[in-house]
Amino acid sequence: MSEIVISELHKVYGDQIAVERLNLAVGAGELMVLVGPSGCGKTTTLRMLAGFVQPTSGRIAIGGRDVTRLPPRERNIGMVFQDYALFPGMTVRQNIAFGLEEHGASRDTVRRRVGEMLELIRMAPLADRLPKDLSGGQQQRVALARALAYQPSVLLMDEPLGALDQQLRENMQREIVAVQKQLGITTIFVTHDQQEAMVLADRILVMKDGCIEQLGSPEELYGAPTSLFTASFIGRSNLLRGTLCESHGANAQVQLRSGERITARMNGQGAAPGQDVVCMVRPERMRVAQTGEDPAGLNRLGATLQRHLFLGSVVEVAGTTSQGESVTLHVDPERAGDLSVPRQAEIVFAPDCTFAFRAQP
Amino acid sequence: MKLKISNATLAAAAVLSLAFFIVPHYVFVKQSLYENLGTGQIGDWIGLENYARIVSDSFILGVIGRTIRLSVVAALAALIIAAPTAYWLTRLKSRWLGVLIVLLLISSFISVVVKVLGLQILLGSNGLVAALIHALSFGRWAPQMLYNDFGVAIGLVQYTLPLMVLLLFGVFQNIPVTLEEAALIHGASDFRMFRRVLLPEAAQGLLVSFLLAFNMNMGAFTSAALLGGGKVLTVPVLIQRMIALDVDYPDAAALSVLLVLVVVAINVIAGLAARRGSPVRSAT
Repeated sequence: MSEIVISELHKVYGDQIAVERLNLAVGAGELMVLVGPSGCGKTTTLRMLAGFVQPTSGRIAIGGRDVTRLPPRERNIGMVFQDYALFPGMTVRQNIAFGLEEHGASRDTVRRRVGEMLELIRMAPLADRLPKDLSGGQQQRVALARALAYQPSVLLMDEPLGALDQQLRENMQREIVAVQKQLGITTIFVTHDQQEAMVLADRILVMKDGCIEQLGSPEELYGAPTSLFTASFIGRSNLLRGTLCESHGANAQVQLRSGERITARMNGQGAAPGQDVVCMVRPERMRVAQTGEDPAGLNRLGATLQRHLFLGSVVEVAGTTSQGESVTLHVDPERAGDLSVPRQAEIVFAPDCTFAFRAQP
Repeated sequence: MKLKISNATLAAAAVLSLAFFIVPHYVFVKQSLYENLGTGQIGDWIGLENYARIVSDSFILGVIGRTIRLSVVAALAALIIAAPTAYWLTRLKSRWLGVLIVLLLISSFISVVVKVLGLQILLGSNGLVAALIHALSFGRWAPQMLYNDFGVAIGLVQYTLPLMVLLLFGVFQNIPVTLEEAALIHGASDFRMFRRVLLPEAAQGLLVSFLLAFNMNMGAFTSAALLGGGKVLTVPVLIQRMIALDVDYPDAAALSVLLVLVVVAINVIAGLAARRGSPVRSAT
């Protein structure tokens, strides 16, 4: 169990900056998820941690030891690959034993640890099968066991669930979290799936164009995004365009294109009055105003409701503003009220759940 | 659009191919069972007598032995050169890769005669290589590189090399890089990774390409005839002499059939040995 400290990590391919001066500290035992669109530098960062890619500059320390120039095998890292990368000619048992053998463990230790790992992933009955005779989920578990068998100080996971179907994916996510917490191993998990990031992470690092966009707990990223990118990348969001009228500290008055004037929080970079801004509100933070309700202190938005979708735990209400911007509301089915469509309605939402960001030029 | 070929067309093609394969073979297998009367005359049916004479002829057995030895050595040398080259090509991240592959393809299509001519110039006593060795050894060493086994072996290596690299390129390309990375990150050194992961994965492909080169070498006439300069007798050269000089069709046919049988037998044995040698290693 070791902490990882990445300082000023920089990687350039030709004239392309893959990772730009990245600084990151991952606490001992923490599960950090790197998430972002393809080409954001998350995979390059992971491969630099593994030692498959040499950084252009910067350093990586694991448990206080500088590993920047060490070959992969001396870094004491376990890794799970996107395609599992199980050795095809070796049985489950031999695959799990590989790391132990290469680290010079005694025969008894190998046998004992392989037994323990087989128990951990509940694969003991299949120990003598070849990878090709296992299902995707089983291969995934073997890959995890192989990476953990020799008790590395860090576990790296490179989109390991990408090839699994949704149901299995969700099961594996829970299983990975359970194993990770049980062993308390420092873990870095790379994915492009924000939902997966939310489920797994202690903290999420959102990356974009080789830089950190935002770092925080899933709750922070979802509840208080500091950039438009994070806001629209993590979770669902309603985006309303407008112009900043005035701002006092984090409080901003915004004139929406659709005509309403609303109050919002400036959570990221500031903007000057007159500049274009985008306001973000989560679907479950919006509701339809009751007839005759006086929504004092709430933001109001006129919209035409066009569709109701019953999703089980919520009713999704879809509508459009007078500017044609689409709005989505997630409403408690018990309190959905009038479900007739289409109809004109007033949507209300609290100012402290409304975030304004400077619009991207 | 999917090309549709009727079964009748396919059957016709199959019959034609079989005919072209079987008829000539039938003719010379039959020929090998008749008596040679000299000057191209063929006598009575004598069964396997020609074969009996050949396998008891120590000179011919020597030629067969030499051909096998030369073919094995040349195929091994080609494998040793081709395997790292092909591996390097598959791991090359460069836009020149396409160009290199095309060059390989072109060189494998160049006529053997042209290649041999190039080697004769290069390896001749006044050639570049001879001059280089002469200079590097301060004039003390001037090896004869043509018209002996060495020259023929070089010719065979050059003959099979491009094809072998192309074949092994496919083999190594099918081994995911992540397998190597998995081995390296889980504690293996480069050498251990090679031994425990790369080699077992590539073993079958290596054997196949070795056998391919070996088979080509066993039947190679041009390299042996031109670079051996008549001094290196291999089975194909001997067959040609039996036909062209002795005008002895039955014995030439018998030796040809024997050559095919020897090559097939060696391939079958190698295949069986490989199958026995590569079951899953038992669990520890």
